[in-house]
Amino acid sequence: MKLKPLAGGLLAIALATVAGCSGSSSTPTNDAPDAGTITVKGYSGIFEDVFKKSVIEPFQKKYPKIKVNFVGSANSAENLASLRAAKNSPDTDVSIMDISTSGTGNKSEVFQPLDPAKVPNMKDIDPRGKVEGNFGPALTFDSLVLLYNDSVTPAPTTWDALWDPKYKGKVVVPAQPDIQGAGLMLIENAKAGGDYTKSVDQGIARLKQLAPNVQTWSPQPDSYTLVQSGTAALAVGWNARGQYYADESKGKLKVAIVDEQTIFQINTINLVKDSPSPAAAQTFINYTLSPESQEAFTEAMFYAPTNTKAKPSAKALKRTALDPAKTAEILQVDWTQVAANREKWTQLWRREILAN
Amino acid sequence: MSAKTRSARLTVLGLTVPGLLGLAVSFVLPLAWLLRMSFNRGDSTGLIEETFTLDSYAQFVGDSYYWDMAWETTLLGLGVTVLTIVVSYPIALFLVRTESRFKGILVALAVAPLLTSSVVRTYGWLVLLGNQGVVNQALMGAGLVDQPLALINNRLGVYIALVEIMMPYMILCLLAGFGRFNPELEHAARSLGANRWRTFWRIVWPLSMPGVLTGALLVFVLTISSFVTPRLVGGGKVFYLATEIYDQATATLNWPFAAAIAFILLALFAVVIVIYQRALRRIEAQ
Repeated sequence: MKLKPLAGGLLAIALATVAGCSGSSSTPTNDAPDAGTITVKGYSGIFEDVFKKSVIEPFQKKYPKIKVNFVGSANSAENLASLRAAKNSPDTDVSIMDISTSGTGNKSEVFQPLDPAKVPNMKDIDPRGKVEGNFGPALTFDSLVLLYNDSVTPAPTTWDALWDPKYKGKVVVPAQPDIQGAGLMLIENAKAGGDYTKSVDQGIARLKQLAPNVQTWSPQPDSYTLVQSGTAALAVGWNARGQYYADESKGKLKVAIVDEQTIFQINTINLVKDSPSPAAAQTFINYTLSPESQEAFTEAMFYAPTNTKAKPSAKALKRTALDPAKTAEILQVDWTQVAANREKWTQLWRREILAN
Repeated sequence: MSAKTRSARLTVLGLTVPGLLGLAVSFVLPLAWLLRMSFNRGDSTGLIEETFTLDSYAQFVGDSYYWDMAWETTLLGLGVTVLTIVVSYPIALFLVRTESRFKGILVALAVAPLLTSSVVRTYGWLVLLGNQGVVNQALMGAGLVDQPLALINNRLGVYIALVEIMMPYMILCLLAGFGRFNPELEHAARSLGANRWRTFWRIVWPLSMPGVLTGALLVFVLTISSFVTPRLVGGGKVFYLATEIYDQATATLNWPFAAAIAFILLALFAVVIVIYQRALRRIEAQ
C-alpha cells in the first residue's frame, strides 16, 4: 500500500507532538521578589476596571520593576478551567476566584501554598478567610443582596419580595451552579428549617414556586444591567457590584440589604503552581492583602476587607458585607461542601425548577 | 506502473500531505485526547481521576433526562432546518431570477449577515425581542397585546434567532444549487400546459434538491452544534447537547462527562451525514 509510509509519518509526528507537550518544559524561573512580569487572572468587567485602578496602579508605583498584566475571565469556573488546561506550562501567576472553586484548584494541584515569609500579611487575615495549608486566602468578602429597579416601591426588605405575584416575569436569578442561585436556595432552605448538609429539598421546593416569576435564570449580560434598564424589576446579586452600579446608575438600580439572613461570598487570591515568577507573584499577593490596598479597594468598590487591620471609612464600611450592624445575619456555609454538591444540586435545579 | 502515473501520484501525495498534517495536529490529536478524557472519572468538585471507565457514557445513557436532551437537540436541528428552508427558498429563487441591475448588491446583502459574528447577532435579537424591544413595543403600541410577549428566554427565542443566523448559509447553498437549473425546462413545462404550482413541484423543486440537501446538512450540523445562541437566548431554561458540553466543561468542570457528550454528539453527526449521502445518491440516480 502506498499509504503506509504516509500513515507511519503522521503517527511519528503525532507522537513527537504528544511527547513535546507532556515533556518537562523547564521554564527558567524568575525568582526576584521585586522584579519581573506577572500575570493575574480575575473577573473581567467592572471588577477588572476597579482592581486595576485601585490596586494594580498603586502597586506598580511601589514596585516599578514588577509589571502586572491582568487577564479577565467571565467567572470562577471558567478561570479554573483555563488554568487547568494550561497546567503543564502555566502562563498565569496569580488567580482570583471564588473560594468554592479555588478549593478544587488547591486539591487538584492547580495552585500551590504561599510562603508565609513572603506573604506576611496572611497572618492578619480574618479567620473566616484563612485557608488550610497556607493556600491562597480571602482577598474580599461580599454578600448576597436584593437588587431592585427604582420603579419598585416600597423598597423590599425581605427575600419574599421575589415571590410577589406582582413581579411575574420580572425577576432575575442566576441559577445554580452560579453561587448566587445556590445562595438563595441555601437561605430559603435554612428559613424553612432545613439543614443543607442533609438536604436542600425545602429550598428547592421554595424556588420551584419562584419559577413563574423568573424572567431568566441566565441573565445576559448580567443582572445589574437588566435591573438598571428596567427589563427586570428584582434580582439577586452581589453587594459590592450592586453598590457600585447604584452609584453609577444614579439610583436607577438600588440595593436592598434585607433584614434576613444572607450568605457571605469569599474571593481568594491564589498562587498558580509552577508560576513563572513565584517570588514577584507573592510580593503582589502580599500587597493586595495589606491594609492600605484593602482599604483602597473597599472605598472604590465596597468589597469588605479581609485584613483585620484594614480600617476603611465608616461610610464605605456601612455599605459592605461587614456592615457592623449586620454581621449577625450571616448564614454559615461550608463552601467545600457546596462544591462537593455542585453537580447534584445542578441536576436537581434542572429537573425540579428550571424545566417549568 | 509507468513513470508518468508514479509522478502524478507523488504530486497528489505532495499536495495532500500539508493538509493532512494540519488535520492530524489540529483535529485528530485533540480528538484522540478528548476520547481519552471521556474514559476518565470526573467528580462533582471538578477533580479528574485518570482511569479507564465507561461511567460517563453510562451516566448519559442511563438517564432519561439526557435522552430527552438529545431528542430536543435533534428536534431543534430539524425544526430550524425546515424553517430556514421555508424562509430562504423564496429569497434564493428571487435572487436567481431577478434581472435587476442591483442583483449583485442584493446577493451580497443576503449573505452580508455572515460578516457579523453570531454572538453580536444574538445580542441583536435579545434587544429586539426583549420586553422593551421594538417588537413588543410595536405590538403593545398597536394595542394587539397588553403584556409584552415572552419572545426570549425560552425555546421560541432560540428558534427565531437561529433561523435568522442560519439563513445566509442556506441561501448560499440554494444559489449554488440553482446554478445547475436551466430555465428552459420551466418554460417547456408551462408551454405543455402545467400551471405554476405544478411546474414548481414537478420541475423547480426536484431540480433544486441537491442545493436544498446541502443547505439542510450544513444548517442542521451548525444548529445542533451551536451553543452561543441557545445559551444567550434560552434564559437558562432550555438545554441542548452543545450547551450541556459547555456547562459541564466550564461550570461543573466535569471534563470526562463533557468529553463523553461531545462524542455522543459526534455520533449524531455521523448518522446525519450517512442519511444525507444516501439521500443525495438516490436523487442523483433519478
